[in-house]
Amino acid sequence: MDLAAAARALHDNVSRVIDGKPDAIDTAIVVLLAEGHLLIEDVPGVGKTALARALARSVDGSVNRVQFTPDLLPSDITGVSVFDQATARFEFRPGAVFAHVVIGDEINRASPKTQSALLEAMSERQVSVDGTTYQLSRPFMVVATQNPLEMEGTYALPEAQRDRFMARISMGYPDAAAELDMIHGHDRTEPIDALEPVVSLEDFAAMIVEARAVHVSDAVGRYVVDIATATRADDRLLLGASPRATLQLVRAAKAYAAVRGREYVVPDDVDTLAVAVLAHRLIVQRGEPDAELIVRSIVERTPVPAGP
Amino acid sequence: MTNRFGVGAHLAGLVGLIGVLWGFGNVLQGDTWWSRVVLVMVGVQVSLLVARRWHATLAPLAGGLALGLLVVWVFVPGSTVAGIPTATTLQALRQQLSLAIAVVAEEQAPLIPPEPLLTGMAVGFGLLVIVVDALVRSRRLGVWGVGAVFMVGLAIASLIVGANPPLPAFVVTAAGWLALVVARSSAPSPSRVVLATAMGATALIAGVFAPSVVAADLTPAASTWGRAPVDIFGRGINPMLRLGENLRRGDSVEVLRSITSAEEAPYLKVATLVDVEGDTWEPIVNADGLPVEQPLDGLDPAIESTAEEISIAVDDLDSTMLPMPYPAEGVRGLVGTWFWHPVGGTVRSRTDTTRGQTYVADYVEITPDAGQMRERQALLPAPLTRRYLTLPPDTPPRIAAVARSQTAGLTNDYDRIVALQDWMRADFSYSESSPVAEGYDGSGVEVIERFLLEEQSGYCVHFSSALAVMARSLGIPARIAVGYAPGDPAGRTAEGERIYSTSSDSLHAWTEVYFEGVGWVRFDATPGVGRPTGFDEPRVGGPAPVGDLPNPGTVAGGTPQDPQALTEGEQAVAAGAAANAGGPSRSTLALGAAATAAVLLVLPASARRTRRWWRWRKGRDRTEPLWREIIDTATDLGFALPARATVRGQAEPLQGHAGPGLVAVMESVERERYASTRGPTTVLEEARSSVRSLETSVPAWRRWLARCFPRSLARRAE
Repeated sequence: MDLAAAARALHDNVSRVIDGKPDAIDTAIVVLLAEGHLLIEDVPGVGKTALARALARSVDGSVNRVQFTPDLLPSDITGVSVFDQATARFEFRPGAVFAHVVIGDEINRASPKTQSALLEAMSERQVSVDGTTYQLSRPFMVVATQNPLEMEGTYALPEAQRDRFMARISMGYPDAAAELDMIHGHDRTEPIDALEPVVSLEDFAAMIVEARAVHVSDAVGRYVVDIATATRADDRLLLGASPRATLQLVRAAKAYAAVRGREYVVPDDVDTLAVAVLAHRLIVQRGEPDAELIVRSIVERTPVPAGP
Repeated sequence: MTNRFGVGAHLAGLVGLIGVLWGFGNVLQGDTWWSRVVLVMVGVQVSLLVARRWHATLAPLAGGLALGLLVVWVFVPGSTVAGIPTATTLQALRQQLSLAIAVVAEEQAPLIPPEPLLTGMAVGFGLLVIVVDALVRSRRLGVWGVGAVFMVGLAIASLIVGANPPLPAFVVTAAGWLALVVARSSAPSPSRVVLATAMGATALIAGVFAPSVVAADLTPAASTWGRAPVDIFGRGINPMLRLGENLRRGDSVEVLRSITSAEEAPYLKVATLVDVEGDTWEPIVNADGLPVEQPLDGLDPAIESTAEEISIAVDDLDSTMLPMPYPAEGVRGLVGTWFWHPVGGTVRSRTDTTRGQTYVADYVEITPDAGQMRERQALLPAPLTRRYLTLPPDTPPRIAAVARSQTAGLTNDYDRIVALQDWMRADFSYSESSPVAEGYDGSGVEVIERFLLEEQSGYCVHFSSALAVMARSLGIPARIAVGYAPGDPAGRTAEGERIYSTSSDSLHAWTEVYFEGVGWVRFDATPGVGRPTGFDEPRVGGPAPVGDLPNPGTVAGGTPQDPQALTEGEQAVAAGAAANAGGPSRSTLALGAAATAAVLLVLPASARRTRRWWRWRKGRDRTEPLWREIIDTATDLGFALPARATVRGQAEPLQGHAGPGLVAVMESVERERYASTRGPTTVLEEARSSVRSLETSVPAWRRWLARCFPRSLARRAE
């Protein structure tokens, strides 16, 4: 099965659970394919968790879910070595990150120390406990959720850590028709349990490799750099996009191009993903519009490369 | 700042200006002059380009400096010390320029280029180079600004010359402009330069070869089809006034020699003045609404006429209007392209001059007797009569009163006109020094009133126009002829034929009156010059009382004029050759404007066509040009395309109009732009079908609009 068809199958499969959110699903698939992590920022109850679970199920992967609370410990995330009296040896009990898809609910409610344990695992894709290094599974994607209207007892995710998420999306409320549809669907069965995997883990690993091989021309590379540079020069922003952001935008664009069945990136891919990949990393000056609008306006200002 | 549009655009501007300069080709004769002006222009352009590499804002300064130095080196080299201008240089330059202005004011064209005029033109065109160079760089004014400069330049040339600029001038100017459009357009830079250069070169070649091709199509002097003449009087604002000035100037030279079979040397006519407007009589340039004259048609067979022949060798006369006897039947032996003037039976050329011409003219001496003349009315067909009787509304009534009192008791037109002629010949005096200062030096009706009632002294201009105006006031159709009075005998040939020598003093004006069945008959009221007209009385009666009086100077009561005095002015005319008659008529201007408009209309369309053709060619192995063609076509047709857009963004509004081929072209161009490997096939056919679908998806009027005003030309592609 070629990549584009597999991606379409994934999309269709996830759509059976999440109604009326094709863009969110697309971005989630792209991030999974680009080996990034996804930050979903939205009010509770719009299907953030359902999206993550459906995606993991569709690729036949394991799912762990961690509810982040102020008393959550780093070892809950990474795992811990426990002395087994029977064997008289320390035995490693893997933590929550040992799964294909890790859902971190309300990540901003844990203590900074615990947050950073997760974030280190995200970027290293390995965990070291008591001097032993454990490789994480592949694919590995953290889907963290964050409630925007935050209340008491939260620790805002520092920008350095937000930067580790490839993309941020918000689900938004479903429209009335989709919501009605949801009511009936949920009444009959628990849909996520009904999902069957459409891609095997091995196939998906091969897709990841394939997506990495997508060609980025100098022109498109320059285009991405132009956009990143523009965010750094923009008066409305305190903090622009980091070089890591540039890299992740390129990677995401490659995965997107692969999903669209192309073996090269076109500027439209970059345009499509720029807001999702860049907006959450930027710090906006007080009194300016929110980051999405600024990123969009920057993209619209940046000249499209016309040739190779 | 770098050169925004590259050298190509600037060179295109220069080529266009050279075309404009070419348009002035008829003003000045010879062809060595323009190479020097071009040298200055090229020098200025080069200095602009070089200076811009260094510092953009200094370029005009550098251009001005280069212009100054080049003009000095080329035109007043003697005044410099080792090439460095001195105070003498400035003086020399100032003198040259004021002389140039004087030359222009004298309105003599064409003539051999005098040095000062050249200096003036070099300065002018050098400044134009600087202006055009600046315009070329202007993003907004650019193409249209330069186009306006070119157009105005050509229009001025045609105004000065009194004829449309030569075709090559148009072609070269248009090509320069076209090349500029191309050079500023979106084509990738190497092909842009190549294209611009190729178009410029093609135009230059076309310009060089076009004249010979065009000239070959014209049958010399065989056609009555009127072409705009290069008028002897340059701009022809006031030919009669010029005549007066010319009469008062310079020395006498021999203009031409003639040998004739006739007993008397004929008057040689150069131009005809029909309409009096304001202060002066206006020359007829083209037909100006008058039918083509056939002087010998309608000649009553009862009237005696003799076929004569005159051979004329022109010496020191450089004119585009040929001295011809009237009425002439034909002319042989001319070199170059000559045409009958539709009105007045004269001959002229646009491209050649009389200098050195030797030709033989067949003409008819019409000799009715006085009785036959008395029987005939001075009457033309109705619409023409009105034209030939028109007088300005402010014509003083005293002129008509004088005419009536002088002709009181006479019962026919012939007697009346002869009476007026003889009255002036007898009672008036010839003077070239009549009070010129108070505006007397004209042929307008007010001057005529003064001339008739107060001064009673003047020169041929006054006499001929006074007679014509008086005739018209009596209802007799009259007009003025300009030319040469009969020459002086200068010996005989071996066969006994008389040789006449016509000098520049003999430049003259006389009156022609139309008689039914006879045609236009000459009456010359100027005392002491030529001969008055008075046909023999019918043989039944006594001997002819008046007859032809070939005895100038003895008739008048006034002082017999020394022919030498006459000369003073006419010679200047001869130098420029007979400067004569008339400026560009309204129809010439209209024609020029129409031609310019047509060229302007056709230019964008053909530039657009060329570009498309070019892209189809390049599109055989690349998709980029094809895509640009689709986008430009859509732009031309008025599709709203996003200003900044990706390939897909541009394609989106065209979906559903451009047919199924669009997606293939779109993907191909994306692949070409962004992928690591080329697409396997060409999409030329898909692109063509997309363009066709786009064109058929809009109503026909939009298609035409797109063709005539392709907006994509003005839009500078990204």
